[in-house]
Amino acid sequence: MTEFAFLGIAEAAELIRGRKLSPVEYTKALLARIDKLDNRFHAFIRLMPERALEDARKAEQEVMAGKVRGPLHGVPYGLKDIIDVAGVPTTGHSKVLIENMATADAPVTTRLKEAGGVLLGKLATHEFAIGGPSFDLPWPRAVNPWGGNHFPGGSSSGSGVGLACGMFPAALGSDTGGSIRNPASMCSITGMKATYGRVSRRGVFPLAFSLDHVGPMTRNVRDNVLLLQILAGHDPEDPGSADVPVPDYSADLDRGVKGLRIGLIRHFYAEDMVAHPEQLAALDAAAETLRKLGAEVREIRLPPEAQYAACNRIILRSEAFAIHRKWLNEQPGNYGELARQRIMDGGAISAADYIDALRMRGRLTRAALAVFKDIDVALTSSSLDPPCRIDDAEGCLHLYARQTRQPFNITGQPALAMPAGFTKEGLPLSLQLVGHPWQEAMVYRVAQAYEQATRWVDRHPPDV
Amino acid sequence: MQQDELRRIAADAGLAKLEGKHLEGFETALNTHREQAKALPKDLHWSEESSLVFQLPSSVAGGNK
Repeated sequence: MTEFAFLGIAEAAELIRGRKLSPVEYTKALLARIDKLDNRFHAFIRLMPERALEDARKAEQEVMAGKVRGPLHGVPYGLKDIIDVAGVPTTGHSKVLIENMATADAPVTTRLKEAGGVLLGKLATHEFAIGGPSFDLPWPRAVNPWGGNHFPGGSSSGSGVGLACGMFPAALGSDTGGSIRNPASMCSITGMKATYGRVSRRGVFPLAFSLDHVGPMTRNVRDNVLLLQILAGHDPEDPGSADVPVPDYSADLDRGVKGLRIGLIRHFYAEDMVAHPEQLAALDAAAETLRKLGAEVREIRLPPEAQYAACNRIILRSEAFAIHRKWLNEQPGNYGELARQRIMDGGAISAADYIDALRMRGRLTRAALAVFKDIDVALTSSSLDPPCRIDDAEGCLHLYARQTRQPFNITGQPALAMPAGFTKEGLPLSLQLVGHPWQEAMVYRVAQAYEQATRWVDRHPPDV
Repeated sequence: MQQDELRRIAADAGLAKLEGKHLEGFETALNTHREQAKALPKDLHWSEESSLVFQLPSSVAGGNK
């Protein structure tokens, strides 16, 4: 069982295509692993073993008949439970939607299916992608395998935990204020929030229409590239979807960083807020690693992080409130306390303040893009601290605010979080790479070079 | 804040049915936003538009030939 646990997507897909790995045996092995671990870590809120084995058997028959549907053929994956799968409940991890049955696949679900993926089930999330970690919901909250009883970040918590535990090699999350990159940081995995509009949001329960992104979460950069390649593309029925050509994200993946210009947004984590000393040291070390690999690294300055955070908060909570207003009024007790309060905050925001936040967004985006003119990619922090214990409510709230991900929901630029080392206690540290709009390939190129130079990805939680 | 005023503001926001701790939560929301709104710029020029602009898709373009 353990031999399959930490296979990557690319590896597994190649073994399956070469008939050296049976999709059925692979799926059975992961289901056994989930059975062994999920009572502790709660990555899943709905495991679908019958469907998974049915998909796996179909994938195996196709391979034996010489037919490979796509780059994910026979590879298991999980979906954050805000993403629709036809005939399966989408609950948002909430009592409010406990009986909500999806009637159609989200386009991202369809793409993964058409690429040959094997759906294992629906994954834990903070309630409605905003309220967590919560203890007052119909299903338990996911727990970080790093540290044993630690906060895994959110809101795509189940996705991060399942990947870190070796339950599956691929998952989808969503990111409105950092919710792919937060669990990526806390669980030592790789998560990409691509450019706004790159991946369809249709069939995904919204948190804030103008800030939501859906994206790939994996254990390494190459797998993330493969998954985004499947997901990216125009959806004419998603009003936020961009009709921009999708490049080959892997074409320059292994080109290295020699001669690239990397802007270090150090003020985000050394002045605007000050990161945990080990996290700060890891970021400075990452900058040095990229320098040694041949990149030119220099400090750049954007507007203060607090401005981006405030702008994101007002827009996010206003838009979330509009979506939830009726339910909040009629069944407030069916929300967990955190989601209820955070969404209700939006009810106090006037229309004029919301519009001013949108105008502020324009200003902050222009300011960021002006700085990016002279660089290829930016390097900065994602989380400012390693994960705390999940039963430390104050600690979790403290971590919630101490992050520098929101600026890139505001600007819509592609932003990737990945492992950058570990504390002396063995807890994950992370970094964030940010690119020009539509330049995910460049972000991946830098990420790949860093990953190959450091190999933090070879380390797995000790107790799983 | 007086309960009546709080209820009126909640009703204006579409939350007319809130009671007890949920209504208190709305008061918390009002206090929170009062602080958060201080971060909004005070110097926005009238020409600085919202970043969400209504635009029709190009496929509906037509006109006289």
